[in-house]
Amino acid sequence: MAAMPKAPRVSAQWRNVGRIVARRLGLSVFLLIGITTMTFVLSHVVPGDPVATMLGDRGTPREIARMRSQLGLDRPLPLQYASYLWNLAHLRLGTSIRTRRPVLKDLADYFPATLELSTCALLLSLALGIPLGIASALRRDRPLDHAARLFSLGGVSMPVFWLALVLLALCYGRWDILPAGGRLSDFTLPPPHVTGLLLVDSLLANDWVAFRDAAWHLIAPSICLGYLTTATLARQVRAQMLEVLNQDYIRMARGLGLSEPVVILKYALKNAMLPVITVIGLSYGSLLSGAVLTETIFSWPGIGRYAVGSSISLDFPALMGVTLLIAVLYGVVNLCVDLLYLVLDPRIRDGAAREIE
Amino acid sequence: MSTLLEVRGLNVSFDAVRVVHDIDLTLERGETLGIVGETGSGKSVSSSALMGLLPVPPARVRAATLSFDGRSLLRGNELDLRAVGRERGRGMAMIFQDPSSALNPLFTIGDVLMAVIRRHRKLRGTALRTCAVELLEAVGLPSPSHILDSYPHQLSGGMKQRTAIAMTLAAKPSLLIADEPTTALDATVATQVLALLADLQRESGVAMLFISHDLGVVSRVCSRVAVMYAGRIVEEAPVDTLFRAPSHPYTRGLFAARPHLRLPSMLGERRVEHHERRALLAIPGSVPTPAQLPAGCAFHPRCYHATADCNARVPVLETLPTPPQALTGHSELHPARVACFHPVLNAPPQGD
Repeated sequence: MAAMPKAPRVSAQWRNVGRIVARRLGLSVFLLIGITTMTFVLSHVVPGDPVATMLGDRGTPREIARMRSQLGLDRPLPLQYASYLWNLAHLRLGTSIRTRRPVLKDLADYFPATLELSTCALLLSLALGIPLGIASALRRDRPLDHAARLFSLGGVSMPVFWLALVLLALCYGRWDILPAGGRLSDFTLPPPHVTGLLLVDSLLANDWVAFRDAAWHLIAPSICLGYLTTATLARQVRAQMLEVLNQDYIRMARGLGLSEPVVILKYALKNAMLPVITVIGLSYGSLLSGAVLTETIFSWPGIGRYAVGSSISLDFPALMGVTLLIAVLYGVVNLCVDLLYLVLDPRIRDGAAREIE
Repeated sequence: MSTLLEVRGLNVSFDAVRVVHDIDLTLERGETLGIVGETGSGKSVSSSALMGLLPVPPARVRAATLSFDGRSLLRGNELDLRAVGRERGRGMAMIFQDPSSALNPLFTIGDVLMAVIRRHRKLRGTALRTCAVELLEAVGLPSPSHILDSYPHQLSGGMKQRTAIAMTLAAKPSLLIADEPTTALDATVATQVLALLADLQRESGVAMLFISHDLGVVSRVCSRVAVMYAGRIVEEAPVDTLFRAPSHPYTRGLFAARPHLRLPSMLGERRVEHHERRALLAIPGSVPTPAQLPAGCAFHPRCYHATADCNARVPVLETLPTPPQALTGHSELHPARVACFHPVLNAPPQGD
């Protein structure tokens, strides 16, 4: 007779989960150390003197030297690196050479705009890409599938700046149904600053005028930024769904007479989404860091534009801050993805399947 | 008994290639029919086609008659997927070959099992869980409530197949299609699962279509057997008749290829003296691919009895003129239907 099931006891399972999480966090620490070293080295080996840029034509050699020692740039590199790490540990990211404000403050000002835009773009692509991928798989090789694939091809191959310009030319220039750029219209009073996310802040202040205006301003940049991700998602979901629909457990579920919506949206979708989650995580990371073009065209005061401004003026502390922020974001998003796998896949929870690396 | 499943002229093709040719099957209520054949003979494709589980392009399923429980499953002469969809579960349910791939890895056994019960038995709450536990007990699983909360990867192969059987029983089908349900299991576990299926069939009176490549397995569960070769039924007979007097050269070949069951002389008198008794005989050659079927009888290139007319025409399934009891001395043997121009009519030696 069959023996007792080999299911690990609950405590053993949690120990397993704890071990995986701890290992994953441990890896993040190494990642952080690597990133800080990289940003420091890169920003200190590039040619160009930030102080000279800062002082411009007025800078006499004496003034430049004074400024350099004031900023600590005359000390040996290892010492600079040590103090950089020390400050980092205390969340002191230095002072921006360009804006002359603490970098942390700058980031706190610019980042919410990017976060809001990227999140809207991601939500838009989830809401469009996943149903599109499912429908495409279910109607394989029929007109709907072809249309969806054409749409996806556009998304993967159309340059963002071009799409942005077309959107602007039509929706603002010709029909005047969307704003030209910015986060709010000139005549709209911004809601009191709480999170820096205008949608959230206006909701908190119960200010529906500001909410509508902020949402209105988000439409075009979100479409622009989210199109590529929508296309990628639709393709991935379609491919995974086709694969899963061919599996015996789906034929079994159908053979048991379970209704088609339950089979597709519950039993098939969860399996199909498993590999897609990684793609979603990576996409979110690149949305957060890669909005430079979109932000520039829609004059969106986000981290991408801040980074561009900083690199033009060789603002090393600011650049290092931005790089660090993006690296940390990637790390956090990936961590979330890995934790999500633990929640969704019992095989990983039991350590039965390959562990997440 | 009344007819549960009636199939006339079933054809299945993938793109332009026909893999199942004009199959006729009739199944009474509570009857057990075995379908035997080598890999690629079309037995699994036919059953998946009946369940409407083939991906519809590229597959195409046509029939002259296809009725289940008195209801036609055709629209024109094509399989009506909607009509089949309505029969799945409560009408017909299917057990798959590999239980490891037939259970959803991301959901607990209880999740799927209870979804089936909810759908077909309209139970809720504690009654639902009780029913699930009872079903798992009925298929001989220990600590059922524990298994309800387990995931497939936490169970052994035999346990997985038992839970799969429990899931099909949950729908209370009137026809159970078992597609090589023991092939992926260890020999001892396979024997247990086979016994379980036979018991459940006897107790519940469910009709069963049992697909296997193993004649011995089929004989333990089924009362009637259809032998398939290259997409056609070549012989159909009650299990006793088939085992005492197999008439199609291919069927005889299958028996001869089974270890320690029949003598090599079953291949026909022309070959007897060339072989050691009890030697294991393989049928020469291999199953032709559906795209390149030989003309006439598809078996003729591998057949010891083939003559010129075998590659001219396709033999149809006909009741043998000679009653088999005249051959074997057994009374009460029902005649077989054979698709062959030269059925082997000599009595095989009795007693292994």
